[in-house]
Amino acid sequence: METLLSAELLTRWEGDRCIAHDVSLSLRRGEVLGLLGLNGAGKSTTLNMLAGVLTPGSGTVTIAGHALHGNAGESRKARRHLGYLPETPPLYMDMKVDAYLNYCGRLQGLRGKALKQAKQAALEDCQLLSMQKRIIRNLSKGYRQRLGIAQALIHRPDVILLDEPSSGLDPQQMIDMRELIIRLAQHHAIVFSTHLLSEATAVCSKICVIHEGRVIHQQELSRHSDETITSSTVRLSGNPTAHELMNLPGVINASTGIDGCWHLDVQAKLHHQLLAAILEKGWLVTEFGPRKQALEELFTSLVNDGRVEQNLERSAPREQTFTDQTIAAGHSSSGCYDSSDITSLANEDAPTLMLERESP
Amino acid sequence: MLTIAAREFNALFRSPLAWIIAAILQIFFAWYFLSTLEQYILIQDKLALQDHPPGITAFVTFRYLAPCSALLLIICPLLTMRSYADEYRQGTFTLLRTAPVSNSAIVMGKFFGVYAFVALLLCLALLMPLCLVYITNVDFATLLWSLAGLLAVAALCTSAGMLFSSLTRHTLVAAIASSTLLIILWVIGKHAVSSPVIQQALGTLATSSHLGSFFQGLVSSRDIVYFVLLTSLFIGLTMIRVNNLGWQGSQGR
Repeated sequence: METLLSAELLTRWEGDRCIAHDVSLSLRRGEVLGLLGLNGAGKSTTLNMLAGVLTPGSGTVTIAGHALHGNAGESRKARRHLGYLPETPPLYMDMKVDAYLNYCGRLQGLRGKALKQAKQAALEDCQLLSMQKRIIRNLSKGYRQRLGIAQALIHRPDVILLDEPSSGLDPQQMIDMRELIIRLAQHHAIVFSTHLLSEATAVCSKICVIHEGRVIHQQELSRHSDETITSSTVRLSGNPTAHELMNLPGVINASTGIDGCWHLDVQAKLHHQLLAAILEKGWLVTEFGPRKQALEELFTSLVNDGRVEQNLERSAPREQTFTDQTIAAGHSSSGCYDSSDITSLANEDAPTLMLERESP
Repeated sequence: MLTIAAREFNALFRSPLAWIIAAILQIFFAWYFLSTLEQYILIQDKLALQDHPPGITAFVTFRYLAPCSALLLIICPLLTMRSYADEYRQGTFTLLRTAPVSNSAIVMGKFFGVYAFVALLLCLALLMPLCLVYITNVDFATLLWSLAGLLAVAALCTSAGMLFSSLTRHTLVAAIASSTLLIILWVIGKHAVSSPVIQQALGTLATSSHLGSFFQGLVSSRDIVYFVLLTSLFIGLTMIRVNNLGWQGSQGR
């Protein structure tokens, strides 16, 4: 598949503060990239640079083969392939939904019949048909958000950038939104930022964690369940040991998780055998299911890692002892961070965070 | 560009401020026009004694249209203040920046959108003298050239208003700043300065000194060039500003 969006070494300074540092991304048709990060991590700045709203101090953005921050002609060609929903949807409050989408379509160069069809498709996709004649000021937040999305995809751009698309949506609308993103992803490349890790797990094929303006982790997520090893959460009575669990059929690794449950890495298609073996042992099973929180734990540990590194930089004179403590904490028996060693983490729920980095 | 101009033009019709300005302006036009006519009737006898008495057209353009042009110094900034500042504030400028349109199309589209509205208001001002057609002979050429003069001032004021609107997120700041600049430009040559060179330079720079020829029905290339140059200068500065927006963090201060 062709690469539709590629960003190389984007850096931006505001005053003496670096708000994005060497951010590199690339995305092919059919991929959905989730930008994850805390508030103020630099997600919106990154998206603004990818959309051409902000100019990076250095680095390049290429959309469908055209340089976005190049000369005016190239930049215009690049923007033809781009749809962007910023954090605040760019809506003219005094316009009607219908007129607004007409305007957006015309800005994108659509005219006549093509414009009518594009508008109809966008209204249907975002379930706004009943709102056509309403003035935007009178729409609820959810509808405004959906109109913002309709605006971003009216011209069916190759690259769609969405900054927190699900903010302000109710649970049903969120599900619809996910379905829309998955449907769009078949023919487009989509980047979206979110706080909701469950959303990222549900729709992304790639995730990118940004912290303090740096990409600290990129990973491909598999949305299919045909993996050879799956991670499961199991809650048992009878206090088995890790060793006992490891001896069960199909179990490759066993570790303790939050409030007494076990995380087991199980070979695919051996789950039923495993369950039978557990019941045979006489342990009572109260929970047995896929491990949903894997991404959440990864995210929290990455972000906390980032904080530890920052603290190391700040407390340079004590660097040696601190590092030792960090390493000791990292290698504690359960493979968890032990927050008691690290004062900066005292208020976090770090004691039960599993480390799941790609490189050990 | 036409799409942007059309939206800008239509947006003014949706804004109560523009309607209020149009209404007040209309009241002002009517009142001023009638009082000008009244004056003319009162001094008609004395005028008739002169060798070359001014006709009704000349009298009306000087006493009625000329003061109207000064009103533009306040009205245009009020109409343009939202063009950019409000879009920065609402976040809608992002829509224009990410669309495949050039920055010059954005700037020119916005300019012509508001300018068309101002031109419409000025045409209304012209309707009043035109109603004299029924009772006397009107010098159409002079009247139309006076309108051209008003349109030239309107272009200058609109472009200046646009520039200040593009510099800030606060609509009121934009309106006050551009009005101030325009008023200073208007009166700059009227005060005595000890050095005649400076006096002359300031006089050349003053907007009011370039309007006389229009109201007399004279085509003066010097005055036309003045308006074209200053308007282009303000539009050019707006384009530079819009080009550089990407460097600024929060789209205007």
